[in-house]
Amino acid sequence: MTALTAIVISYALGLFALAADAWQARRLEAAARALIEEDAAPE
Amino acid sequence: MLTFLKQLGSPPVFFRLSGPAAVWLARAAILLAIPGLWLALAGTPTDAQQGEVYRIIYLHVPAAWMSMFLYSVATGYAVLFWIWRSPVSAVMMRALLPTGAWMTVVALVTGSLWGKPTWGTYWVWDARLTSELMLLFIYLGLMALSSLVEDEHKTDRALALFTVVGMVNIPLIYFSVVFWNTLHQGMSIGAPGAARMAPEMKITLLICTFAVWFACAAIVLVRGRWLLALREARAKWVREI
Repeated sequence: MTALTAIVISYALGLFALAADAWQARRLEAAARALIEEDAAPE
Repeated sequence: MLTFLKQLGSPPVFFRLSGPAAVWLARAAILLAIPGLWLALAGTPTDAQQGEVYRIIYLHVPAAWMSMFLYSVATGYAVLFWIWRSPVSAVMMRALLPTGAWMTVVALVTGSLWGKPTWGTYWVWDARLTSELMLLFIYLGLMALSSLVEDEHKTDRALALFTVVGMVNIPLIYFSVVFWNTLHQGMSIGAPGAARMAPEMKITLLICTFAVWFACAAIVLVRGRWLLALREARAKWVREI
């Protein structure tokens, strides 16, 4: 493996990890909002 | 100060403040990541001994620091939970775990990719690498425990206890290069007799560290505030969101 490949894989993984973690947090937000709205809706 | 900290333990106050805080932290992370990435990949000079591959340091070290730091913060929240049983402490303890696990994965994989050209191997069972791998297993174990039972109130105390117990691994990771002879290099920053870094490399490392720190803090706050809203779904303040 060349130095360039190792660097590219490393930084791609770093960005992917942050993006995936942020996406999971936002998905939780969407689920929570949906649930709260459902609870607030009149019977 | 103490009053402010006590107010932060109140779910509605925490929810109200954490939203704008997360936005500002995300903005700060992006503002730092742009120059940080440029400096890391092109702006800093090539290392005299390792060549270009040393540039992995600007991601590997922040990720490794963050993996230990986030666990330490989770332990702080676990202790606070034991003292005050605050729902904010309980959700923050949970919110920190996935981000910490991701940072541990990044530290392990980037370290491995850096190890092959410099040490001649992707992996050795030395104290630093093994204790960091143990940290990943601890994170995964705690995450599994936190999702084991649907009613999270039931697992809060067990989660807090095991988080505090797992904290014993953090000083082991940090001081492993001092306690044992390891293939992993010793401390680069802060320790007496540490290898000296060129100022431009040190500044770049600090910029990248703060970028990762702010990004992780923003993500953890978003996760924490919505875990809190889900947990308190029947409370009046949640219905007013």
